Amino acid sequence: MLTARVAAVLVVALAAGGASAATRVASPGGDPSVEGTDLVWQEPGVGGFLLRNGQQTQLPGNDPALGDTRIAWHVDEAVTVADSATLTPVLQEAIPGVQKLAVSDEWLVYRIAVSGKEELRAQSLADPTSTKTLTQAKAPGRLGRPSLSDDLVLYHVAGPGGSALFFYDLSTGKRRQLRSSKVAQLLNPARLGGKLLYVRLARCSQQLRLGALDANGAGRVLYKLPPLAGQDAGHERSHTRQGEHLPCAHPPKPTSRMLWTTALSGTDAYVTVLRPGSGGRMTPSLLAISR
Amino acid sequence: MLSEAVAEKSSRRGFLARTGQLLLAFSGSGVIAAALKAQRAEAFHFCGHIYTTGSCPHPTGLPRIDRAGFPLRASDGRSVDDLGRLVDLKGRPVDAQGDLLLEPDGNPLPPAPRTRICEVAAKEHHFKAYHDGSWYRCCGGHIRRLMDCCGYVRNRINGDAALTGYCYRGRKVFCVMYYDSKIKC
Repeated sequence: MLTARVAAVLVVALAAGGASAATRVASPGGDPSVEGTDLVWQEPGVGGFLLRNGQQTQLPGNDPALGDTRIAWHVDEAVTVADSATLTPVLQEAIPGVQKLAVSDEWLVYRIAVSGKEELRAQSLADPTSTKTLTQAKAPGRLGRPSLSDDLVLYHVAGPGGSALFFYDLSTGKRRQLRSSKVAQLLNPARLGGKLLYVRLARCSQQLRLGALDANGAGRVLYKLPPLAGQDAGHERSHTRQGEHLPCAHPPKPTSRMLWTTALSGTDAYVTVLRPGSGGRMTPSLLAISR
Repeated sequence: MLSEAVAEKSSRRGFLARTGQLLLAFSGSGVIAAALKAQRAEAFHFCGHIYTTGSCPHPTGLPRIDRAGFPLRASDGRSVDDLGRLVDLKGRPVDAQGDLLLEPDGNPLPPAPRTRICEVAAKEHHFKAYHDGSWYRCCGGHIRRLMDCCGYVRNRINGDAALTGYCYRGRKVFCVMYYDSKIKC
């Protein structure tokens, strides 16, 4: 039976300035992961949810991820990898500091917080004693949530020096930079086949972009929001406009909503939209945008 | 109208530059403050600016900076990053109340670059940035330090010929910016 949350699936939101119509999937809800027509997400403070054939099921853990025939979640440091069709566990283990997960038939990839740092690690499901560190960041919040497609782990690194999207090929151990910018903030990549979905936060707009994995073009804007900051008049009151230099050609109407994590299926792109709550804590909503 | 090149050599501007520096260094003197107050600049696009050179590129518009040249929001002097977002001392985005913005799982949102606006101008227009001289005016009841973003450039941000202004050693003014001190005048 459809719950109230799933009913929201049918609410079509034409977001202000959006490039495409967006369908709200869950609110609160975010950090999507998709495999075929199955979709999972996290509801903060409640847990993970699975949407399959229009039916929504609460999962027995948090931060769920889908990949191939597997599904993963965790309860604190207890991580479970299960068969996605039956939810029968195939691996259970303790991973202290685990935060985010990605999974496939062959790999479990996770982000952990250790001693104030963040690391991405990959573990072979065939040989769970074999773990490799893919990358690390010295401060929390710099290393994005991993996504996994075939043997490729995609993630962002963002900091005061700029941002970049990477993939790490688990079969070869090679890392490649897909996109980088010192002007815009590139975040939360997801991949399906030769397509790359990611968020681009720039001074004058926020965009959800779909482009080629192997090319560096701008790609297509699937969805957009106004920028996160406004601008002043460029001149002081009672002064002339001559000499002013404004960042955006058209005065933006800023929003406090921010594009965040993504997932990509054959028919839809998914994106989390964060909106600020009390004390700075952001609340997520999950949108689906037709590709 | 005096050109900036001519104005640079005038004793008035030289005096103001020197006294302004002293004023900022020693946190004020009634006599010098009075001298600055008496030398209010003619209005161009912001108070204290005395010629037509345009603002340096700034994330929120008016080219207000902190002492180190990083961008501040002109309306309230709060720090912003290159995306125009309010940030804390570590460059992490914060909300209007100053609370750190956190992902739903409690991690801080990733910081974006925060770049000195003269360096942004230099990067966008392919020159090396220099902060050379400054001049000082009384604006809104406080001493404002006005600064030229200098480089070995022929043209200024406006697109026409650049002038010497307060730049040294053959460098010229590409764009202008300002720092508002807390010293009353």
